[in-house]
Amino acid sequence: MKAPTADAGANPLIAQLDAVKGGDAVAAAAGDAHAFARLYREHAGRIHSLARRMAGDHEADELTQDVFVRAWEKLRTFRGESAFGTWLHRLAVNLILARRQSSATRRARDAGDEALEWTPARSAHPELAMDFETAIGKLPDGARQIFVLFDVEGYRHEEIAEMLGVSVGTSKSQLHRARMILREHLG
Amino acid sequence: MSDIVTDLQDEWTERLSEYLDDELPPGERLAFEEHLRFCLGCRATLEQLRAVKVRAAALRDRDPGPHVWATVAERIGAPGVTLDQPVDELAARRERKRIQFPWMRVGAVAALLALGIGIGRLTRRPETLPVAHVEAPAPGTPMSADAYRVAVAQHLGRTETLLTSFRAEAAGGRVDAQVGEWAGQMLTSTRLLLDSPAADDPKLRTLLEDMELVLAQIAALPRKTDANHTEVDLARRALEEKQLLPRMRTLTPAGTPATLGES
Repeated sequence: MKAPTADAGANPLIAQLDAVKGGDAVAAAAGDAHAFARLYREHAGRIHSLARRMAGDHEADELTQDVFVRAWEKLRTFRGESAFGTWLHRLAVNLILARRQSSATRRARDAGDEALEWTPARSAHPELAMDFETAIGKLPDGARQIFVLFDVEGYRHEEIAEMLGVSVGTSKSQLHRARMILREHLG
Repeated sequence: MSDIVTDLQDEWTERLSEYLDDELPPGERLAFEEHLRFCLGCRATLEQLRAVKVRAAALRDRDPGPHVWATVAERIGAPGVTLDQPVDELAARRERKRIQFPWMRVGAVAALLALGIGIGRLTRRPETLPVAHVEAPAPGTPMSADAYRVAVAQHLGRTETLLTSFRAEAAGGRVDAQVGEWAGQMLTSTRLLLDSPAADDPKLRTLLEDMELVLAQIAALPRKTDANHTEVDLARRALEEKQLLPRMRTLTPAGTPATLGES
C-alpha cells in the first residue's frame, strides 16, 4: 500500500505489526544493523520502485543505496510521530528530487521537448504498445516526477508544488501533460 | 461551426485532468459536464486519461537485486550483516511460474488464511465483514486442494462484502476511510492468492487481477485528504465495468463448505 500520509489506522492487527516494525526502527537507531536489515527488507521494494520510476533504471540501485545509507545516518532523528515507512518515503522523495535537480541530465532533457516527438500514436497497433513502466520512464523529468508523485504515490498538488518548488498550476499542467503522453501507450 | 467546436475542445482538453481529479470549481465543473454531453472527443480523451490513472494506481513494486543491500551494508559499516532472506529471492519466488509441488506453496495460502482470520477477528466493524471459521494449518503442513478452494472462497466472500459496502457508499459520493483500509488488506490477500496455486486457473487468475485493480483504486482513496467523488466514481465504474460482483458470485469453487463466507 503506497500511502505517504497513511497511518496504522484503526485496525489493531496493522497497529501491532507497525509496533513491531517501530521496534526495529528504535533498535536500528541504536546501531543494530540486523534490525536495519529487516527494515530494508520490508521497504526496499517500494523505495527502489520509487527511484526507478522517478529517475530511471540506471540510477535506481544507487539511489536506493543512498536512501538507506542516509536513513541509517538520520535514524536518530526519527521520533516515531509517523510510521517508519512514511518517514523513509519522504526522505527518499527528497533525496531523489535533490539529486535529479542537480543533475545535468535533467537540464538536457528539459531543454527540448523530445517526449512529444517521441510519442507516436500506437493505439491502432496494440501489439506495439510499450510497457507502461517503460513509458513512464521515457517521460520528461518534470512531468514524470509529478506523475509518479501524484498518480502512483498519492501526493497532492500542494505537497508536490512545495517539494519541487513550483506552482500548483505547474504541477497540474505537468501531470496533465504526462497523462496525455501515457494514454498513447496503454497496452 | 467546426472551428467553434475545436476551440471549445482545446479549451477543455487542457482541463480534463483537473476534472478527473475533481479540482475544477463547481461552476466550471457543471459547464464542463454540459460540454461533455456533446463532445465525443473530450469524452474519449477523458476515458483514456482515466485509464492511465487506473493503471498508475495498480502498479506493483519490484525488489532490487542483492547487490544493493550488500553495498548498503558495507557503507554503514556492517558488511557481515546479510538479509535473512534476500529480497530478490522473495521477488523471484513471487514471479516464478507455478510449479509442480503444491505443498511447497502452502505458506502463502496459510498466511492468507491467517491474515483473513486476523482481519476478521480484529476489525472494528465485524458485522460487515464475514469472519472465517477455518483454522489455518500449521506452517509446513501439506495443504490439500480443498484448502486452496477454502482460501479462495473465503477471500471472495470477504471481498464481495467489502465491494458491496463500497458500492452502497459510493452511491452517496463519499466512502468511509475504513473501507479503504479494508481494501488495502484485501489487496494484500488478493496478491497472495495470485502467487498461490489458486491462480493456476486462468479464469480465477483473470478475476483476481481485476479484483487487484479495483481494490488498489479503493485502497488509494483515503490517501488523499480530499478524496473526492470523481475518484470514488472512478473506482465504482471500474467495479461495474469489470462486472466483479457477479463474476465473484459465479466463480465460488465447487465443493466449498456451505459455511464459508457467512458471518
